[in-house]
Amino acid sequence: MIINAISQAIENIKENFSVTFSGIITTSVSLILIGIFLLIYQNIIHISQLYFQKSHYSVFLKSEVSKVNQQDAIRVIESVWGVYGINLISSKQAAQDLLEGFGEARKLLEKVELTDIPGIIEFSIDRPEPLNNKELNKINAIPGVKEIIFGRETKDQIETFFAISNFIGIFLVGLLIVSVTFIIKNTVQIATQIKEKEIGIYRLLGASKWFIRLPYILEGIFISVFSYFAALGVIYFLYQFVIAGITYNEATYQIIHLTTFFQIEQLLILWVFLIVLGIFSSILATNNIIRKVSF
Amino acid sequence: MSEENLIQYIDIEKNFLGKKPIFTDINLTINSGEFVFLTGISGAGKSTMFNLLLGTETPNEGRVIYRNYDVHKLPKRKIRHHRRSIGMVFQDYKLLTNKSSRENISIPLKIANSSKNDIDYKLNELALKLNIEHLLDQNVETLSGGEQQLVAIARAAIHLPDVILADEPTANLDQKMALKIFNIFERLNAEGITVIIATHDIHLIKSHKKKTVLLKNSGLIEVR
Repeated sequence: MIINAISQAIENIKENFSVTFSGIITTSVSLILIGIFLLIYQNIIHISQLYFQKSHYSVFLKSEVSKVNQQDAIRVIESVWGVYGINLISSKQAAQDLLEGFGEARKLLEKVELTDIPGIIEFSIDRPEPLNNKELNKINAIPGVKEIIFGRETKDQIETFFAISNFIGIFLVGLLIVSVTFIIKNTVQIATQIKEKEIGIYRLLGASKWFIRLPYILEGIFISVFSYFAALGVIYFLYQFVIAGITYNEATYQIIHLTTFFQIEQLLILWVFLIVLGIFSSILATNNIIRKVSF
Repeated sequence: MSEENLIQYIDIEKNFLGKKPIFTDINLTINSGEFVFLTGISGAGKSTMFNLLLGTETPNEGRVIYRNYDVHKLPKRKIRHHRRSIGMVFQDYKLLTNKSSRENISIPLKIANSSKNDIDYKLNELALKLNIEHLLDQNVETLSGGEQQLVAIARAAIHLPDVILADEPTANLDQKMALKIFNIFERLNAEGITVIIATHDIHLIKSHKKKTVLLKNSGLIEVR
């Protein structure tokens, strides 16, 4: 049955080449859009995670903090996994840094007495995830620690960003998957409509539903697989083109070296997923004609 | 039911969309190995009798028994097996005109999932028997009406069905070709296949002494 179905599918594709070809083109375009989105999304997540790994924290100290408390705070921070580059900035140094931050306008502030600028303990972490709440609470509990500002805010912002990205991503990918399903379904359905008389004769002669369906399922798989490789080729070419086109400077150098293309495992999963989608769409497409010619 | 009885139409009534019934109270038994002419004027219901047996139409009343089962009580998934045991020669041939005779004739075997070797063997054997080897590789749309009818008969017979139903097989054919077609049916019948021919060709019926059933006035008369 399978050999017969393969030869039937090849024949169908040859006979309805223009329909199949336009189906492949439209499916490929949708897959290119999905692929580009997934690639951008994947790289944003990847770069953001790398940023997290190297993220900086600033522990603001109370103005009345004692030297002992400062040393306690440094000791606790040192004990946290992945912490490196601890740097204590005194309140005097912090005031100096603040003034320098104003540039030319600093002259206006030179006569102002900056007495309430807190000391800061800066540090970085090198690990896949940011400081968790338990670790943050442990540092916050040290006498003399006012608050840890930078880390928490960044964590919240990035978590919100990920949540929104995930929502938009799932919605868009879902929308495109539905459209790919309908494109394949419609292409196969046109092919079945062209062959309606033939399918009717097969049914009259005792063909099973699956005997009729199988060539069209193979056609659906052919459309999805061919579109997959076409889209993959285009996306890879675009990726290389964009990377090659970015002007190298200190900022873009980092980005270029952090971006990644799809991994083999991801491509295999997408490939299998598309085959399943091709089968599903073709079954949907053949349901109509089988219902119509079921005497 | 005796083993001889292959087909039984029992108390059949059939009408279309509430119109006057084309049959009422039809009873007919056809035995295994019989050769039967089913005749009547156009619209008498000859094709409908075949469709009832194929299961493509259902009776309003009555039952159609094939071997030992009621055709219209078969589950959907079994109706295809029932149809595979019948060879049907349609009035309009129902051939795939864009395919060769070989492809058309082999359809029932492909449907039954026969191997390529088996298909080739049976096809060549039948083609030799029906003297249609020269037609095998020709596209059906290039064949004459008579040749297309030969291909349709070959398709109906390739899987050695229990019964062949032929709907007006000699219509639009000249006398010579009609006789050739009839002789083929006789040969198939001689091999044990039950043959039922629906025809209004009186000349054909009169010239061959076969069981003849006439559909007339919504009923059925066995003439011979």
